[in-house]
Amino acid sequence: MDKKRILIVDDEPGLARLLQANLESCGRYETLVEHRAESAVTAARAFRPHVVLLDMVMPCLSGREVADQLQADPGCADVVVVFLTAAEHGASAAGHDGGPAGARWIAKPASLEVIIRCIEQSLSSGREEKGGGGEEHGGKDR
Amino acid sequence: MKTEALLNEPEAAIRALRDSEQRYARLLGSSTQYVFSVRIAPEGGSTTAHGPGCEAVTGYTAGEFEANPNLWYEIIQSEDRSAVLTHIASVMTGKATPPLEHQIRHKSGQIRWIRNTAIPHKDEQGRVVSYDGLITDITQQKCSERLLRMQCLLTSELAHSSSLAEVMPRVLQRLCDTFEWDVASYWGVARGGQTLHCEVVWHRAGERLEVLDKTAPCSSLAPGAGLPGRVCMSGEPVWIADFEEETVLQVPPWVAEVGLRSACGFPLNRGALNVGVIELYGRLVRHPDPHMLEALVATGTQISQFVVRKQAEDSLEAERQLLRTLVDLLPDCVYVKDTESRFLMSNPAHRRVLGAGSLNEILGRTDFDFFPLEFASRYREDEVSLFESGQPLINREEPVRFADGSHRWVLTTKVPLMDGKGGISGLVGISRDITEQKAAEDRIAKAYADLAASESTLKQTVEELNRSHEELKSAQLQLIQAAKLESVGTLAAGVAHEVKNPLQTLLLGVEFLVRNLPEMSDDVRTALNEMGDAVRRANAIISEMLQFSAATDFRPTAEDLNAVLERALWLIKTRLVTARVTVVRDLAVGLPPVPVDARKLEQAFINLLINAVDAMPGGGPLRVSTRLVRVEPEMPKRSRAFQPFAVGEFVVVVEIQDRGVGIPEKNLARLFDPFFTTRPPGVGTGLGLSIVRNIVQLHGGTIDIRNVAEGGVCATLALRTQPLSSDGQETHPDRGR
Repeated sequence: MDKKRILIVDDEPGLARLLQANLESCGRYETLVEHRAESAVTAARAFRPHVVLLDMVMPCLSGREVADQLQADPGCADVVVVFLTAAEHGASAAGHDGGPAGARWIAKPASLEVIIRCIEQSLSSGREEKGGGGEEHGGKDR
Repeated sequence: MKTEALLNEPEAAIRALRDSEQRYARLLGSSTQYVFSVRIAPEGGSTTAHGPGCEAVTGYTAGEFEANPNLWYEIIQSEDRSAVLTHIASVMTGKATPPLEHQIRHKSGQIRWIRNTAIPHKDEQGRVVSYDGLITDITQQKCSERLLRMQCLLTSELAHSSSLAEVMPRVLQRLCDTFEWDVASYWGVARGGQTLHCEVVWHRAGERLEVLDKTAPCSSLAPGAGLPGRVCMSGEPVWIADFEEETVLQVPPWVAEVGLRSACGFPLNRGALNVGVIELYGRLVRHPDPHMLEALVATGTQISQFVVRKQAEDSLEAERQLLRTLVDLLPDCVYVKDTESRFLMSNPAHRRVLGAGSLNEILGRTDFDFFPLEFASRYREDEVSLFESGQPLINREEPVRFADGSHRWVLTTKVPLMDGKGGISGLVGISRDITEQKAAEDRIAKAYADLAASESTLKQTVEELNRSHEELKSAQLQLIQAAKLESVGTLAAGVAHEVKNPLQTLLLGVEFLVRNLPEMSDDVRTALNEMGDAVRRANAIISEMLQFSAATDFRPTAEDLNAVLERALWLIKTRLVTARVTVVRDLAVGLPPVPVDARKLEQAFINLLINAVDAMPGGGPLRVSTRLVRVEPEMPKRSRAFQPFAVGEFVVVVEIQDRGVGIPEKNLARLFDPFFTTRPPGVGTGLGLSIVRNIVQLHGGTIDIRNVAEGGVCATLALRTQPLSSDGQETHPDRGR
């Protein structure tokens, strides 16, 4: 089976590394980590990922801005972007400033299961016009 | 000795004769009389023979008289000569002629008085052929007479004169005339006896003496200085016979200028007190005359009585003047009454008050003539008791009606007057108008009262201000707290990022370890599971807290509350099962849609349901109900839950009730406080109910949680509705099962 390529863009090294480790240990994915938001497009052009996991809040550029750059870039046109957000309202963080309607997002902290499910959904539905909501993380007790 | 014997013994006879002569001479020498004879010659002219005593009386011998037939005329004092001639003429006529008293000048220069008694001898024809004259020296008598006369006159004069200054020149003149001095001065003793002042000077007419008019001889002396000073200090008279011989006493220069040779100073003594000195100066040398000194001292005593009396009178008059001025000018009323309370004296101020024009209108009358009966009676009462007890009435405040009709207050003091024999002769009263003062005192008292009142008002105000201040402070604290909570919201984004990222890392790490450790002991697995749980729990807290503090966005949509409730129940169904809780439903059918944010309300319901479940650890019934209610007037009074709603409005009431142990009374008030929880640490965040209340309030509804009688807690929510049907669909509560 073809391993799908996942580009992880997050400025937190520990988080990115673990995410990479976890995804790769599944055996289904090939991953690349890019810490610097401004280099994300370059990395994407070279790596040609299927999915880009984008942190929302980064120095220099926000996740939103990176997403816009990717969309604008012809070489990355069919890349699916999934936002990783630490905001308590993922919907508002991803949608309220008028970004791609219904962009996918995962709220941190998310379990691996949730992350993988979201990636698979993204891959299967491809690039969608209307993404529908995001996934809240599981494990809320109350 | 007999003549015969004399003839027989010549030496004895001569001795006897000499003895006789000596006796005779002595007699003559002390004689104050002598006889002279005048023989009228038939052809005119006369011869006079002067008896041997003439030397004693006149100072001239008989031989000198013989030698100078006119001597007898020359020694007559010039002013008396005509009287003497008249006397002789009268004698010569043979008529019975009374004796003549006249002055002669003694050979020594002294003036003597003599009485000339002439006895005529007539011949057969009745013509006077000779006469004998008896000359008697009556100087002493004359002096005494004069003294007596002077004293008499003095007495009379002093008694009738009004002041020392007026009478003293006459006194001095009399002294000089009587005792034959030329200048006299009166020295008064200044108070305290420290100095003598020359107060009056008198002198005879005479050229040189007129100098004294221009220059004051001397104005004051210290005691002991000069003649007056010596007299004053010793209290004894001093006589200076001749200034040219005087060595002890200092002689004022004017004495020599004026040509005065002798002086005599005598004290004016009143008992032991010396009140003054009189000096007498003469132009002739004069020897001390003890008789005169005696007379002078006696006169001095007489004059001193006058001086003392006059001084007393003067001082009394001055005091009286002072007193009169004082009393007349005092603004206070001053009056004197007798024991029948009749006025004896009244000062101008008093007269004004009584309305009397003059003293006569007042004297002899009483208060009853001037004041209304009630006032006058009171005054008389006070006075009667004063007379009886002898106790003065001091500072009595009493009301008075002045003559002008005004009612005023006075401060009266009445003091009994003693009559000198121990009895009371009347009273003296003084009254001061204190109306203004009283008014002022009243104003002050009122001002104080006002001040006290305003002070207490002020105190109250201050207390209220303090209370407000405290309330403001606590409001401020609450605001600060609220602001803090708000700022927590502001921090939310940062917190979210800073906490959730590490949590994500932890979670990923734990999951990685779980997946990839080749062999895991149970302990390790347990540990890793615990770690995962911990991360999840941390995340739950963060999320709830952030939700609580986040700015709310509220998206109500028309929802069926029963559906929202059912979904909430479905979401916790596993929990219900494991807790052995059975749900008892009492949901109304046909509830109108309610504008709610379904997600949020769901969250609220879940929270309340979980609490209910937890309240029944061993399981039990969980009752949920919904109904539509129309707000009746008494409902808001009965329950706080209905207060925000208007009467006639429709609300949906949701109740969630458990059969647990209930909530302790003391916790009821703090139920909705953030972080208030009765659960053990790690179980629940304590934010649940505060979030529930926020959600309910967002909807404009109310929530009430209370213990119920049968045990357990009931949470009641009331939510607004907007009846969607406007065609009067029946909306009465419909219990469905």
